[in-house]
This record gives sequence, C-alpha cells and structure tokens, in this order.
Amino acid sequence: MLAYTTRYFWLLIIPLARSLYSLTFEINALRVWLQGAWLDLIVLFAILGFAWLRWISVWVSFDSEKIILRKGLYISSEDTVFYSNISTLSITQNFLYRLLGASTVYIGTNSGKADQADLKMILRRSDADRLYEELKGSRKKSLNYSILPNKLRLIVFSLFFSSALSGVLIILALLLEIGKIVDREVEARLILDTLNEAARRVSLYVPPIITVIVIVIISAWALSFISNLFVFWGFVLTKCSDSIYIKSGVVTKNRHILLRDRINYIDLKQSFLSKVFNVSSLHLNCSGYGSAGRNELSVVLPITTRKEINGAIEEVFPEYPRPKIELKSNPRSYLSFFMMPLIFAAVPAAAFGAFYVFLPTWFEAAKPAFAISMIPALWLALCRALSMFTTGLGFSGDFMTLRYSKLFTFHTVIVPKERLTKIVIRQSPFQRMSGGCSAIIYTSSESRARHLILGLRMDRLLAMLEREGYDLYFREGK
Amino acid sequence: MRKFTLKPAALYIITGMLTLLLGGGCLLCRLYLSSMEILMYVLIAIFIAIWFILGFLLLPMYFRRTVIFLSPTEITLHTGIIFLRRSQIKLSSAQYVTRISAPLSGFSGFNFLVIHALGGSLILPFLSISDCDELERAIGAVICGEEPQK
Repeated sequence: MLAYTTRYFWLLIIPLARSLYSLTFEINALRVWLQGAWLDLIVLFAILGFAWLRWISVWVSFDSEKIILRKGLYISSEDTVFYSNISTLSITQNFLYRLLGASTVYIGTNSGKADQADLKMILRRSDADRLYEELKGSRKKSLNYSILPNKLRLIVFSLFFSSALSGVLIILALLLEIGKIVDREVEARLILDTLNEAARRVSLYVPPIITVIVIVIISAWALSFISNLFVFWGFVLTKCSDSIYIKSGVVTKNRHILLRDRINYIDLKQSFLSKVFNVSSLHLNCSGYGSAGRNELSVVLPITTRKEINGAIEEVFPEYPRPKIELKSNPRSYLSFFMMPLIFAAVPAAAFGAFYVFLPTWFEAAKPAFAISMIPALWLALCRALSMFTTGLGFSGDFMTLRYSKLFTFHTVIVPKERLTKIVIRQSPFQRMSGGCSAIIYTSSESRARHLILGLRMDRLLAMLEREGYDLYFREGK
Repeated sequence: MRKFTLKPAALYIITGMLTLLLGGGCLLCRLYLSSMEILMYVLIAIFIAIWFILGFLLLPMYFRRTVIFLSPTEITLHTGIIFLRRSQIKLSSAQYVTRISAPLSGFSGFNFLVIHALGGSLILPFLSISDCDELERAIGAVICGEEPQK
C-alpha cells in the first residue's frame, strides 16, 4: 500500500516521527504535540486512506493466455495483454518487499512506451510466481542451455574494471531518490558534513580539496564495485528455443523472461581499461529489459573474457555471426574524433581564463579544481584515440556489425539487417573536402537507438551500402 | 466488415453537461457582474455561442462522422470535424488493449478503447460495452492466432 502513497507522505511522516521521538514522558507533552500536529495527522491519514483506496481498486487476473490489469477509483482502466505479445516480463523483489512478501512486476511489449514498462504492478510473491510460471508455460518447451558466470572472475573483473563514473551515476540516482522525500537543504548538508569531517581528519597531511576529490572517486568506485557484485551475484541465464530466462541479484532479486525474436540487437560493451585487457560484458536490446527508467542494465553476460563472451554468443544467439568489420575509420579524420574532447576541455579552460582575467585573487585557489575538471576531457581524448583505430562497420550475411565509442564506453553492436530503421550519412565542410563522412545508423528499439560511426571514407561506405541493397542515391543527387 | 458507431447517449450527456455549465456560467455572471452590465451580457453571449457551437454543431458532427470499421485484418477509424482523418492499424500489429470506462458507462457510453500497436496507438471513443467487448475479442483472436471472423 505504501507504494500508492505520494512523496508528501514521507515529507510529513519524517518530521512527525522526529517530533514524537523527542517528546518527554508526560501526559501534557502528548497533548501539546497533538495540538501542534493535528493538521499534519489529518493530511497523513487522508494520504493513507487515498492510498488504500487506490490499492484496493487494483485488480489483476491472469490465465494461460493473457493478463488483465484493472485499476482506477472512479474511472476504471483495464489493460489486456496476451502472453504472445509480451517481450519482457520482469519480476523484482527489493529487500523491503522480500520482508513483506511482495514483488514488483513489469511487463514490456513492443508498443513503444520509451524506457518504461507498459504495465507495472505490485503483487504478492506467490501471485508473481504463478504469473511467471503461466508465462513460462505458454512458451515452447525445449532443451535448455544455461550460463553461469565464474564468480571469482566476476569479483576480479568487477574490482579492476568498475568505473567511478557509474558509481557517481549511482550516487546521483540515490540522491535524486532521497531528494524526492527529504529536503534538498538537509541532503546537501548531510553530504557536505560527511565530506568536511573526512577532510578535517586528514587535513594535516593532504590539502582538503585533494582529500575530498580522492574520497569522492574512491567511494564512487567502491559503490560501483559493490553494486556490480550485488546485481550480478547469482546470475543465471537459461536459453530455450523461443525465450531467454535471466535470474540475478542478492539484495534485490530479479527474474526476467525475454522473447527471443523481439531482441533488436546485441551489444558488447567495454570501458577503456576493459578494451585494453580484452574483457567485456554482453548486453542486448529488447523492449522492457534494461529500461533506463528503473536503473537496470540489459546484461546477458556480466563482465568476462572475450573467449567466454564469444562462446555465449554462439550458444545463446547462434544465428548472430562473429563481429566483422569491413570498413574501418580513416585515422586522417582525427578531427571528428577529437572534436568532443576539445569541447569538453574548452569549458573549464574558458572558466580558467575568466578567473585569470577577472578574479586574479581566486586564481591560485581555483587551480586544483580546474586541473581536476580537465580529467574527463583528457580521459575522453584517450578513449577517442583508441576508438580511432577500432571504429568501423561491416556486413556479414543478414547482420550488420557496428563498432564505435560513445563517451567513455566502447560498443560492438551486432544487429539483424531487418532491424535497421534508418541510415544517415553526414558530412561536415571539412569532411566534404577530404571525402570523409560519418554514418548514423538507427535501429528498432523502444527508445531512440542511434549509433554514430565517425571518420569513414564516403566512397567506400556508399559502395558497401549499395552492395547490401541500400542505395542512398548520392550519385543521382549530384 | 463490421461497422461501429459511437453511442448517442454520450452526446446527449455531454450536451446536458454543457447546458449545466452554461446555466452555471450565466448565473455567476448575473450574480457578480450585474454592476457591469455590458461585460455581463457580452460574457453571457459568448457562453451561449460556445454552448451552441459545441453542443449543436461540432459535437453532433463529430459523433456522426466518427465511424469504426473492423475487418478481419484491420481496424479503421474515420473521424474529424473540419479535417477528416482516417486512421488504420493492422490487427496483427496490436500489442495490447486498454479499456477506459467511467462510472455508469454501460448507460452513458463513456467507454474508450486504446489499441497499443507497434509504433503508435489508436483511441476508439464513446463505445457501448458490447462494441468494446466485440472489438477486444477480435483483437484477442488475432493475437492468439485464431482465424478472424468474417
């Protein structure tokens, strides 16, 4: 029922509980408290009452072929989804729900709600299990094949390749969630107090600004490492003839059923370090799986060696070929690769210049901050330098391979040709002079899936596309 | 091919509600703007004009021109007041259906069927309950791979 309350419920209950906790054991104290808090209590009970009404108005029924979700107090809405159209069924159970015996069920179809489930409901654990079994029963029976990642390798790789950036993103998401229920000022004070306290303790040896930055990076990396372990511990992928079953998680337990012919593409993701050491994680794009709206990753195989990844592709996606790059980017088109890092560097550099000219007294004090703010630009430049030698695309049978980098992540996407929705060839004035271009490939997806491949030779790209039946009529246009 | 039209009761109820709103608006004008007679009469005239245009021209036109055709393979919605619009979706591309009903919708016809399909959705407005059931059954049959009824 708490899931049906609004965030104002938490905004009210926290100060109320705090004031109740600070009461002395006197009969008058309670009376005084009630005199001050009677309006808050009425609003609180009204919110709870309304949540209860919303909760009792939700009604779910399912049989062997469909699920019906009915909700609404005055105006009722009834969703009917047939199992054959469910791309992804996800059942998650966080720690609180495990104690209460509840599960959140997400149902995704191909109907195009970007980055969110078509249906979301909170069910009893037993009902969610029954729904899972019903959907499982509606899928074809076949010989199953399971993949369990090596746990030792998972720990080692997570330890070395966890990214501080994803840790920062997790912290931001966490703060956003806390911010929804707690005052912004309280939230900011909490963070600053913690950082100040830590900086004060080591301030005798190291400058405070450096301490704070190191603490942020280490804690972000540690959080990323721990969350990776929690999410992927107990990861089991089972492949059947028409579906893929995935189970994972320690604190939050997740189960997914994906329909195989709804998978749009598979994606091997790597960070800079994992690219250098040739390890990667395998992801897929399927409506409802890995929705950004619920901070979930669309993983098929957590980070592991390339050999294991290739084995997994052969077993789980036998129709998908090995990545094949026919057309590589031209190293002479380095400008298109380094444009983004230059823009990243230009912003702190401009601020640096402004301080030098307008606030010379602050210039010395701001130097470490500027140095730190240049790190992302330098890191991006390093990623782009590596990407310049790996970017490219190619066709192999009915599939297309796209290899490119997007910010700090390297992607190798294998997509069936039937899932290509749009091909754009873009030329800047400089590229027009040198005969270069960038290809932007759009693929079917619940949200916009855009793959940008930089620094290609225009004539070779056109010839390759024409060979595969994609005539962009460039010659006729001239 | 089966043809569905909108339930007229919904039109009568909307017109009735508009009339009530008009009455309320005129009464408020009489009560609070009696000192500014010209403004009061202008506002009342505007309210009556809106009531007349909506209740006796636009809405009846919309209800008369909106027709739903159900064939074994597609659902087509013809609608529009000034610009006519024909929307069609293949039953095979339908992913799921949402039915939205107001209280007493069996009598009032305030039933809406939203068909979520690949790349978009189609809203079929003001249907009777039996029409909703029939359309839902037809879509369900196609999704389940049953032979559609001619």
